[in-house]
Amino acid sequence: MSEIARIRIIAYRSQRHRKREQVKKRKVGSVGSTRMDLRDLSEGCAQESQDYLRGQDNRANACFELFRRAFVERDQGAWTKIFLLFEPQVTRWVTKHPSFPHSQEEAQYFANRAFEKMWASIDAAKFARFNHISGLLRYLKMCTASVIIDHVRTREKLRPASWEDLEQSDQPESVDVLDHFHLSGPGEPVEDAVFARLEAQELWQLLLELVADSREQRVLYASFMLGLKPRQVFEHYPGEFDSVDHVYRIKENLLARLKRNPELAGRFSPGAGKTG
Amino acid sequence: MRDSGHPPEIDDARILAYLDGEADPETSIRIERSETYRRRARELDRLQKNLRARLYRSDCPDPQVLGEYQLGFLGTEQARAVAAHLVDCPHCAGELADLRAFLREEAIEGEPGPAGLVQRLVARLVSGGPAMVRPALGLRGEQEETFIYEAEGVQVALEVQPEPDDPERRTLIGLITGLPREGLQVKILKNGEEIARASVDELHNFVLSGLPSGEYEIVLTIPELEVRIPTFQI
Repeated sequence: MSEIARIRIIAYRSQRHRKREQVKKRKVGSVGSTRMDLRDLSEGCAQESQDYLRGQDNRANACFELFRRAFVERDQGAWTKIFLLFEPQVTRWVTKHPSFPHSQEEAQYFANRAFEKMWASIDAAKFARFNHISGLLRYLKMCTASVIIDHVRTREKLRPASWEDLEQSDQPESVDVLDHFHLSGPGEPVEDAVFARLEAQELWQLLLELVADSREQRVLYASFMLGLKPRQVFEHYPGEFDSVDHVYRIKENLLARLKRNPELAGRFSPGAGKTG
Repeated sequence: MRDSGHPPEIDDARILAYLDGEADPETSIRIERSETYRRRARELDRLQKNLRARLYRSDCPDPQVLGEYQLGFLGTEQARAVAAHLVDCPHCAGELADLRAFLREEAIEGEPGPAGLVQRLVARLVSGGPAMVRPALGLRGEQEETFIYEAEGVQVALEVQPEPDDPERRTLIGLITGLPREGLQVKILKNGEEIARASVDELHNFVLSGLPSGEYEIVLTIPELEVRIPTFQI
């Protein structure tokens, strides 16, 4: 019992100390009943962030309040201050991202997009899940990576991996690398329009109806959703296929069926219109 | 021109291999010299490009979703769907690995770790003398000392007491304030390995008995926060 009594004394001391800390914390955002203005908050945050990023201070209460006003109160002024304070850091993150050197974009472009992304992604409810500036900066860093990856993906989508191989090879009959941008050719605008209407999901559902079994479905998915070549498919799903040739055979049968399908034939094969 | 030996017809599987740069030299030459094979190669290539252009990575989660998955912001269902996708998709798995590495760079004290939105704090000793040099307590009749650690409004008061039945072992008694009781766990680690764990009672106290003397790490955890006392001598 004496132990419990002693612990309770410690608890009392601790709670008293904690209350003092809470009062201190409250003073960061407001003095008495007056709210701290954005300029003071921004200056406080500037100092805190310097200390924080050097690992000298782990509190950063003014910064947290600035973020709170931005996301909970949707205060554009607070958000502008945050942008001015952290934009150099975000730009540094951009330049350190491994995909940035290949992006052919300015670091500032990605920094701006990272801030836009974070602004659009966090509302008051989500903000409640943060309890420290570190989490917010981590989220901002994640947004920085996210916009760069998004950019890389878009470029990949416009330039599938196989095109690189086609460009690098000396195959005389390689299809022009820009074929994708005018799939139908001048005289076949309908194909492109049909493709445009067929959203990927819808197209996928359509293709699923044409696969014969789970292996074909696997090859279809791996080849076109994941962009893998048969050798990569064979390696990616160990034990599922007998050999690389086996994957090629399955793919051959699958593509032959797709070509024969009346619903897809006219859309997928530019020659179909001419021969038919 | 007629082939004297009538080599077998080149099927579409081999033409596909040719398009992938996988065909043997002889097949490649035959395809390149034949208008028929070239036309079939063009058709297959075009068909593949059309499919890939429409489908490529169309079911991959958006990079922001992947990022929120990494930070633990997604709901259970969505997180499960992303996890399932990651098993199949080497692109997303690679992006996630890159993201983890990117977030780890320039890790700063207090920044959450890669496991999720977990803020990690290191508590500092504010009362009771430096634990590192503190001699082991426990002699009967000796006045126990209370050590108070603090991190971000969280306070941990610790006392070590000898066990009446076993003088080689100690009981660690603690009081935690500044953290919600629900889900709060106290872990004792020795050389990085968890050796004991306790919850707190309604008075926010915890008791861990039967601990041999030694140097331990104490970790307090709730879902979004981890407070560590890196070294505590028991």
